Amino acid sequence: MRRFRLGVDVGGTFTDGVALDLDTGELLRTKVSTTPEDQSTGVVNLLRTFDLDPADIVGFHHGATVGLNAVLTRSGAKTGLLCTSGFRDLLDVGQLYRPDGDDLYDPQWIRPHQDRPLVHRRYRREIAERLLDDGTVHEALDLDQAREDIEFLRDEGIESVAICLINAYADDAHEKALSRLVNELLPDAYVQVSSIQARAGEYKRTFSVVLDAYAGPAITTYLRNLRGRMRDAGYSGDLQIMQMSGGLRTLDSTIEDFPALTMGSGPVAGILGAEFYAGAALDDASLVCVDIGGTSTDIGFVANGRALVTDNWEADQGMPLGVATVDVTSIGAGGGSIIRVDDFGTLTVGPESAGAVPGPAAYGRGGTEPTVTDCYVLLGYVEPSLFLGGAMDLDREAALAAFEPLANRLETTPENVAQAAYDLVNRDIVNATRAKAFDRALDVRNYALFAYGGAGPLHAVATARGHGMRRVVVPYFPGGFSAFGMLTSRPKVEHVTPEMRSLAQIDPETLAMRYADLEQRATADLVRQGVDPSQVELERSIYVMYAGQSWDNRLPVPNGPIDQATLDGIRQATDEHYDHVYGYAAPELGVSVTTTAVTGHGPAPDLKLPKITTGCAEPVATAVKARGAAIFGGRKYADVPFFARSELLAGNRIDGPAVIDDELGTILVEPGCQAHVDAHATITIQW
Amino acid sequence: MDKHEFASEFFLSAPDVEKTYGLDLTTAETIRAGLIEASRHMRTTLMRGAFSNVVREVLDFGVSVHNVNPDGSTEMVAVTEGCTHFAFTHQHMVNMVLDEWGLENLGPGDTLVCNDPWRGSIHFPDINLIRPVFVDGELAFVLSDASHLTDIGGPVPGGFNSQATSMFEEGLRIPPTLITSGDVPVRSTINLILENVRTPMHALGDIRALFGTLRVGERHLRQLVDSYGVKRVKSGCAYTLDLAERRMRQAISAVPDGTYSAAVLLDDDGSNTAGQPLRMQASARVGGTHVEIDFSGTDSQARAATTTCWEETNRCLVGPKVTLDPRHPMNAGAMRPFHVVAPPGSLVMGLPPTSQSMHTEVGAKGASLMLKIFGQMLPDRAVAPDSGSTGSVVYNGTDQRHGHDSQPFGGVTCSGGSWGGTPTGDGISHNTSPIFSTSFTNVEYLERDTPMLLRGISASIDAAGAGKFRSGFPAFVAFESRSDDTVLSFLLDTGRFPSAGLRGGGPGMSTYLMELNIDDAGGFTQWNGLLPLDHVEAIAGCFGDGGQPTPGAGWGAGKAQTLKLSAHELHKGKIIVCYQAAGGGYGSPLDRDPELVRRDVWNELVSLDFALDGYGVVIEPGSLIVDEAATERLRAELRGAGESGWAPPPAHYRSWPRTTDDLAQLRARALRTGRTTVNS
Repeated sequence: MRRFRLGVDVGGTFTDGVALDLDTGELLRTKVSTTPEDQSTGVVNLLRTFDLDPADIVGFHHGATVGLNAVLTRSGAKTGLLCTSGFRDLLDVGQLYRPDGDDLYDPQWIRPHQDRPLVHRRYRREIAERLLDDGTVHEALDLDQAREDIEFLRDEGIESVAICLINAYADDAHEKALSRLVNELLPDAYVQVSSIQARAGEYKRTFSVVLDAYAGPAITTYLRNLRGRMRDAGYSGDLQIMQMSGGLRTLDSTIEDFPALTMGSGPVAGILGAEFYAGAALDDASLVCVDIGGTSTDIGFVANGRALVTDNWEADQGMPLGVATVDVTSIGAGGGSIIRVDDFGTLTVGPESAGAVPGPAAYGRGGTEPTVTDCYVLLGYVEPSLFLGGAMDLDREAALAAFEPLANRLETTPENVAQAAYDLVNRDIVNATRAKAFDRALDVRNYALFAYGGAGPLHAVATARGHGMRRVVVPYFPGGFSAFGMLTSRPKVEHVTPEMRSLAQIDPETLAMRYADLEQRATADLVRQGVDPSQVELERSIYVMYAGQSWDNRLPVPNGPIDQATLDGIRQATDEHYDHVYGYAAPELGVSVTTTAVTGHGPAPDLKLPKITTGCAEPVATAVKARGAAIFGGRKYADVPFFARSELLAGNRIDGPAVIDDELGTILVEPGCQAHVDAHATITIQW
Repeated sequence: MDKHEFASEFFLSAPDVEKTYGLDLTTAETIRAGLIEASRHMRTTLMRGAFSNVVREVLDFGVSVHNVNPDGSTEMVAVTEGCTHFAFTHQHMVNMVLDEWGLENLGPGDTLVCNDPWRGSIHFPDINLIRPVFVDGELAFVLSDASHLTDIGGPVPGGFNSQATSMFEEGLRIPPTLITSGDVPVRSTINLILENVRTPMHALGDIRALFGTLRVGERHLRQLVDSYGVKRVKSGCAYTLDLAERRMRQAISAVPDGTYSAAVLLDDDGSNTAGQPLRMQASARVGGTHVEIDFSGTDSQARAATTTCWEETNRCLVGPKVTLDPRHPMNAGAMRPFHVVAPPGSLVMGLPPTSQSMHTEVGAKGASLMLKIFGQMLPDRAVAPDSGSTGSVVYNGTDQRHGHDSQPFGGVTCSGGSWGGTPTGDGISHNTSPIFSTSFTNVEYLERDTPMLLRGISASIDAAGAGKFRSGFPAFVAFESRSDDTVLSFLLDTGRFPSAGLRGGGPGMSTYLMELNIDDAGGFTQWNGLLPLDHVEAIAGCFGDGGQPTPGAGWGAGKAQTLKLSAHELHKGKIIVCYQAAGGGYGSPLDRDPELVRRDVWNELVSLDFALDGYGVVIEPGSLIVDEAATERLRAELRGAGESGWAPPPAHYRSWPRTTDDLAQLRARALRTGRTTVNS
């Protein structure tokens, strides 16, 4: 009997699947078209394509885009919001300001929530009640009036109810009372209260609970449906669902906890795959992760072996999820992004995309505007017979024709425009990465760039050089890597306690008790999900800021006994963090603690990475499938070899310029670079 | 006119860029992005590193990067995109201060501070820091940032003294002064500031964050210099500035030459003496790709504090920015095509020692005036005016909550008005004037850090200016205090003269200040912003009989004679509610799709009465179904009334409830209506 673990990632176009033989390390991969009307159909189709005995499947890790789609297409549940009297329009007020960038001065811009609300104003009902910051009651909760409003929502056919009251982070009694009333009057409705996120900040908390109420029912329905279909297909084991928090939860626990955390699980899974790789197969513990697909590029970081987390992820402009997630930033540039020249001679790439239809001009499906993929064609980076395993015809003449109008306007050659556009994509990635690295106080020059997605390894060397980095790493297979990331993930929970007090007022015993309580909660949560208590790994963190501030900073707290030295260490780490990130430190000021947190992990996955045969430094001659001209940095190279990845052996070394084709992606080895293939088929490019 | 005839003149090909700047197009664009990125990083750093709510949440601050020209002048190449007004002032502030100080008197690690409006600061509460960046011993760049302190001393906490007749009644005036020398803080300067303000902890923290932000900005700039070399970065600066100029000039070239004029009225001078309205007038003379904006005809500087200095007047350039080239980052290059004439001694160029403490309303109204003028130039891009008021509330006092030891507190909340209707859709709701783009307060932090309670921020019913595309909805914002030692100042206008509609659109709601007695009313009793008038005291605005808000009538019927209230005492048991003005509607409301009107009624944003009177749409009260035949008849009748006949009424709710029972009935009625309609 064999033992397979599956990772299945539902994307916008394709559902990617990876099956790993836990004993041999053999890795199977496949993909099918995503079935938007019911994504579980695609998942079952994928399972059939694998053609595995269901009895051999011992684990199933999964992420879908049901939740994010519901938000972006506004097809979520018919949702009501119960809020404190006076705060009916918090969703529309948002942060009041206009965002940075092109919308700032545009009088025709309006907020996405005003334009396309998640909760119609009619369904936002004001509750007579008011709490103070310490949770004491300032005005009593009027349950009789609330009953009328909830009956109103019931009669309007509301399916889901979000509850967010001012200062409820300090006391959840009013929210609980309302929640009970909703359960009584709308027994079938989905209900979520904001006090499960016990952190101050009504704007984020409101959006958090509304996003969950809006997308939660669709996610729940999907997951229950998926379980049924998987059982029908013969698989009755656990379904582990990918969370944006950076780990897995069981299907039941996902539904009970906070389903909205599954919204951006695909990009997050890619970063977790990188995290796994860093631990299992690389010399580098710190990675800049760059995932380039057809329409967008997702960027994240693994620092010292850990994926970075953030509190600021937004599902749509101005709609924060409000909870800690793996930090992933998307920019609107990918292989399908359209290239244009404006009236001032400025070249722009994206955010418009040619999509799958008509697609890049070179696809010959009717696209006439040049895309980033057409740049690859003109620059000679893709070989038609090898591109995507030879599945796609590429029409170089069509790509050339698409660039000609731009070249004529700029009085230069189509190749020069293609080079400039390719460089601009790299610049955008570098800038987005640098902004993020700066926020997170990372010096990425010591990092390796981890490239995946079909087009990631085509931009990797150039973007890494833009950061002054020394190395690019491309995993065994760059395409469909997010599904692999799911497969490598482990159970994860996070438990927090709001604090709001001065660090100086906290004695070591209190802090020790706090962490003991959080650790006990986190462990119990994992045990409920089937994790063996002896295999639970715990990690402490603390959110700090100077007294009188409001933007807190997450810092790690060491495991082990807590004594005065621990508290002194937090104090010192705070000052160092401020000096690095904000350019000043205020050692004489008090430090406020806003939150203590414990993250619990299940056991690291017991999986082996696949291995390939060892060869010598020189690749076998048959690995070269073609030769052609290519342009790098504006310079033309006449005889660039194209290698088939499947024929490379461990120990092979390839000097640039060269191109390595994988059936799901293309790897560019620029002039002056050397690529090394290791035993796991990982390709490292250095210069 | 064919746009592309002009396009050629402003278009640079890749070889042109190479020839002019010595940079290939990619490098030029990369440096441009790097400069903008530097300012964005500085913005995030300052926001997260600051202490007072006005910086960390309201985002009333600016950061900018300036290139130093060979002649010693500086040009602002990148600027914060958050709070927009600094984008139009830092250019001049930095030049004036450096000119006075002398570049030869600055060394690495030196930082200057200044807050003087006659030297380019927006007002005394703004602390401006200016720091040279030397590369290889040469002064190459200048970084500057500024933020609003919660207090700057003087008689009125928070610094907005509307009745001041001279600047000596405002607060501390700081001429250009060294605040760090070789990166060492100049203790005497810092002490001078801290010992003259009511909230020294905020001041020290924010000054530190401002200084740290400049250091972080410098680090970022040095990375750029390390990558490309100082010469190429400076060429990239020139490219960045010229690109913004090319874009602006192209937009101007599409405007027919000629003179475009308009005028607006402000409520009063803020002296709280039932004063006369103040008139602002301006003309824009367009010739080729150049525009001269001339404020001749504007009233003389006011006796009280509603006057501004020339620096704020330069913020009028937000008008052309919004109308002509909104979708491009602002920098000093976009200012080159403009010349602004501000007559000395007028409202827009007060001369010392006058006070300009309530300058904000001149600035906000000036932006509305510019939208009117520039809208005439390009009718396709014209939008109806915004609220024309800053809409800020400033609060200060001592914190008498248990355990807070009567510590001083201070803060600012912007609650936002709305922008006018546009040719393509409704205006944005809950937004400050085009010259601000400030952010809202985090209510739960406010209530933790101060004795203030923010009791509500939401749209009030019938507030939006009617139109084919209506204005956005402005908010009412309500404050209570848990301390009896609390004073509020209000930065408000548009109480007397509502923002007019455009092309047949209706005026938006006016500004009102009202105070609810919660002991009598039994709590914060409101529905869609409506209060029971029996328990309300009218504070300022236009009120009819029994305190009914009534646009255009009964100005001065409240307790105060002006909306520019300074140091208003807020006592326990009271909630003060500030109703922000709305923008105007665009196009005749009789042309608005009845379905959109019904949707606003369904959402409890528009009353059945206003649907009828303001839009000519007849809606059946129980079902909320549009009576199409009756609507057509009514609209035809109203249209037939001709030019002298029907005009859209100013937005306001006509019959406020008197008692809490009346209010409860309004709420109950809403719960009964529209139940039979199917809707998304």
